[in-house]
Amino acid sequence: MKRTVWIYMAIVVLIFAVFLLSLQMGTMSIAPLDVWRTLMGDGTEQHTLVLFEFRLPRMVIALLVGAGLAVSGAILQSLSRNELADPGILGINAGAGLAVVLFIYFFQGSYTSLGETIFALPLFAFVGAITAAFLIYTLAWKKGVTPIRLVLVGIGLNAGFTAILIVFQLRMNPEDFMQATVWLNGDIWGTSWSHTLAVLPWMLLFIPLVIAQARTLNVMRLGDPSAVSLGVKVERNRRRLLILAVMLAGASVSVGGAISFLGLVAPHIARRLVGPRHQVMVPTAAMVGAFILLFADMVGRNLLSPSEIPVGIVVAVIGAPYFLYLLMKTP
Amino acid sequence: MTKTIVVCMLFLVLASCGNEQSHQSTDEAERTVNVGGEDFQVPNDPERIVTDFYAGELLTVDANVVGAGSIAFDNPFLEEELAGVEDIGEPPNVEKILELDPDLIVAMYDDNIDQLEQIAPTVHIPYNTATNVEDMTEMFGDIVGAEEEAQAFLNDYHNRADEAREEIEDLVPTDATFGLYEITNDNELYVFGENFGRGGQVLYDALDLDAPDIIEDEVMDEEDVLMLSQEVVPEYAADYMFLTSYDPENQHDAKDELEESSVWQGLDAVQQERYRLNDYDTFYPYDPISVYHQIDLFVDMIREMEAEG
Repeated sequence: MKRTVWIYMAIVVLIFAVFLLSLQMGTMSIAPLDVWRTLMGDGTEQHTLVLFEFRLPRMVIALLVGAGLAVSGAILQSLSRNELADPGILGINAGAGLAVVLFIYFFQGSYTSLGETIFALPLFAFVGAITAAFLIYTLAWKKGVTPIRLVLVGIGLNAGFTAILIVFQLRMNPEDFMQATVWLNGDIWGTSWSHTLAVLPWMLLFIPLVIAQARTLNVMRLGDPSAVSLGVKVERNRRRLLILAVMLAGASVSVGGAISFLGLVAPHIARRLVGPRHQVMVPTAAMVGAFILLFADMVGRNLLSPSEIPVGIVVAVIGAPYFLYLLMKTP
Repeated sequence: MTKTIVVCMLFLVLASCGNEQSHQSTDEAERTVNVGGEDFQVPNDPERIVTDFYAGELLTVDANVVGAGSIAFDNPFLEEELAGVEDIGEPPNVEKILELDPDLIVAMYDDNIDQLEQIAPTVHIPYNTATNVEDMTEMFGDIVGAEEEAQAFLNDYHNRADEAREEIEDLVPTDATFGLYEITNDNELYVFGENFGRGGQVLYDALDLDAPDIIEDEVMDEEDVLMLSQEVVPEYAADYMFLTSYDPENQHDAKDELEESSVWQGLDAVQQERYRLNDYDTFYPYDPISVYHQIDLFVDMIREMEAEG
């Protein structure tokens, strides 16, 4: 237990350090002292604008989306009893992506009012993620849903969605195509406070709910027969947890695009750090996910400044080697 | 987790305080312009303009551009005029824009428009708001208050176009057709209409040449761009064909493969040397300055083709 507390503290310190570093790094360099002054409400107009309107909302979104994807991945891995499960592999990202592409294909250009496009896209992504999850669950149903069917149907639907995605992308004009590509690579493009506020409630509501279900998750991970014999109503709990995972993934994907890999790698790292008990694993995964995405966003914003690298690509580049290293260390 | 949430909340509260003192200059020297059915407040004499995509259009009317999106710097026709202009990145970097201290922002993409609006008055012009050189030039003359410059440019443009039409009149049969195509590094083949860059404005507007009927019906009357399977290229072929190769990594594979294919080799235009491979960066842009300069390039190519043929 003591070890867990230390690990919690270490991650929180790391997040804080990257947070502070990220605040002062950017195209416009702001000295640490000026950052402090501005945070205290004493900065220049320019600094206030950069810190409060450009950098902070984006960083908070990175934290929220990172935590959301990580927790979603943790649930899916335990539910499907498959170490490779994450929202991307199960077709939830692709469902959201397809909805976005359909939206751009059919409605782009006919929208004149800006407010609508900015919020219609995340909404469509969210609806797409939920529709995908609903389809996966219904198609996998055969007097109940076994974990392996869930994974296989998910992979099948993922392939189907991706194929339809490509068909529509080919029929798009290149300007719209570019917009869709940025989105599909995973990029924090909803960067205003209104986007932050749109995601915040989902995370604040659902992540604690997941942690509250940690005991059920522990048992589900043992497999259906053991779970049943321990008195867990397997099917009902599976559905409820699946809904939680989808809500978290959907909300994350709606502002962060299809960031792959994070939902896979964060729970693995968390398990390696604090073990498989969900009471501690889920919060750890959330913090690890938040940390990775915050860090990746900082790198993506600064490496090729003034241009940006989509955060999804940075996550893959820094996440993959570490992940492989972890796997190699496993006996 | 709770700690992180508390921190987030703290910053949220701080941020909402920051919100109220947003940057908004209420100069008297402002006026309203209507672009694409929407009203925008702009300064009377913008002196520091930043744009993600419209560098060429703004320079057409001699506007004071201080920052432009990366793509403008690939345009050979704008090289000199962009010498002192800063690259704001792709996608545009809001902090870089803020550093340039603009008094007007002209944006095509609306991804971070609410942040741009906090930096300076922002005019949002979606893709395809103006669809020809005349409308485009007049629209930008209106936005930056340079109606005279716009008119002067258009006079020049029309004179040059008239001359060019005369120059090629005797060279080209009246029923000849012209087509614009592009092969990408992903091996995708496109055909373009009048308003998708690649010289469409020059061929079909300035020089008033014809496209094959099938391009007119299926491309120009539709999206102005159509992806083709290589098998059907002969159906969309023209008497004079121009190809661009979108190939950011300079691999040439897709282009070479297409040019060497029997379908391509079998085209009349290719066999009679009425085919040219055009440089992407030179022919992609469709701002009025680039279109103006592309007129000469097309006239020269047509002349050469006829001399050879």
